[in-house]
Amino acid sequence: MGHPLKRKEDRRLLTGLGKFVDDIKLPGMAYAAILRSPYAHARILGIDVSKAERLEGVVCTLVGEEVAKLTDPFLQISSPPANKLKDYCLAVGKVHFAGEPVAAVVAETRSTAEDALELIDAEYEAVDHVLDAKEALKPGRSRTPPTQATRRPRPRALCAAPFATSRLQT
Amino acid sequence: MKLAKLTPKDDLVRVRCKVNGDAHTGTAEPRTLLVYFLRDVLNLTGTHVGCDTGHCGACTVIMDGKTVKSCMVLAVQAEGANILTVEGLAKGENLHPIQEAFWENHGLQCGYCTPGMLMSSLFLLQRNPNPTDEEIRRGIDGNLCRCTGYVNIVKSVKAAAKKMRGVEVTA
Repeated sequence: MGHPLKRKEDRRLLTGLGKFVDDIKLPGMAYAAILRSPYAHARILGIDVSKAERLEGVVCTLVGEEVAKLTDPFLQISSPPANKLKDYCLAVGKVHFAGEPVAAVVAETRSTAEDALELIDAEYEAVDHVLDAKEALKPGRSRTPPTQATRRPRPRALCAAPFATSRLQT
Repeated sequence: MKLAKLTPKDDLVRVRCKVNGDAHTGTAEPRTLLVYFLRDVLNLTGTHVGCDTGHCGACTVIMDGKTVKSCMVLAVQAEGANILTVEGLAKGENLHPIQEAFWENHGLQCGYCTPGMLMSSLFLLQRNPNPTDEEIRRGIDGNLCRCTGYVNIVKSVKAAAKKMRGVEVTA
């Protein structure tokens, strides 16, 4: 009490002995690299990862269509209509911003993973994009979510419940 | 059929350099950046990669007496060089006065930018033992910190300058 205290973690941080996530190396660890969209808004016509898969040192690749089969869309926490957005960790069908991840490569080293990105053939068809918030609010501009989540059937427990609040539904 | 790697094993280059006083030899791809050579080949993970583009300064080391952003230097360029990293500042249990000053003045929070800050501060104080606040700010303007807001870092460098000049520092 009444005395300034020195932080106990500072010695290791000041001597370069901190352990940040990037400092951790595990046996058999692999590295992922992500291919990103050069377009702000485009339809994905096709992503060919066959060449990337054949590069020595590549463990596997992943594209949006596989992600859509393997996972549920991200949970949306916005108020309507933005909560109807259906998106995944890799773009499915369409890209919605420049830099959106469209494919991933896992390889034995980081440089091999990045080399493999260059072997991916991604074909896009650019569509209209909006760069201005006011412009986006005008009728007919592309502010509607591209894919609408389909309403899931109400769980049986919810149907049978004597009281249900809509805030619990997603 | 498998596609061969862009850099076959035969293309690996041997790099010899002195780091923190010790002679090191390691092999790396010709395109390997110095920071990855230090971190992945020599296992000196105190030097951090913040941006990989030369903006943040987390990877700053002193090479042949001058600060460099080690993500902007190829490992092969360090052939024969004398490099000082954050791991080389303390002498055993005894911290360098700059390290002490950062500790005493809360010059760090998460500690990610700290190694780069320490190296830039050392380079500054070696050339300017009694810098003004403005000179300190200019000296560390290649180093970004997202925690502290820099005020305590400037205070730390100022305190370090006093320590290094042998001036008694209170609190």
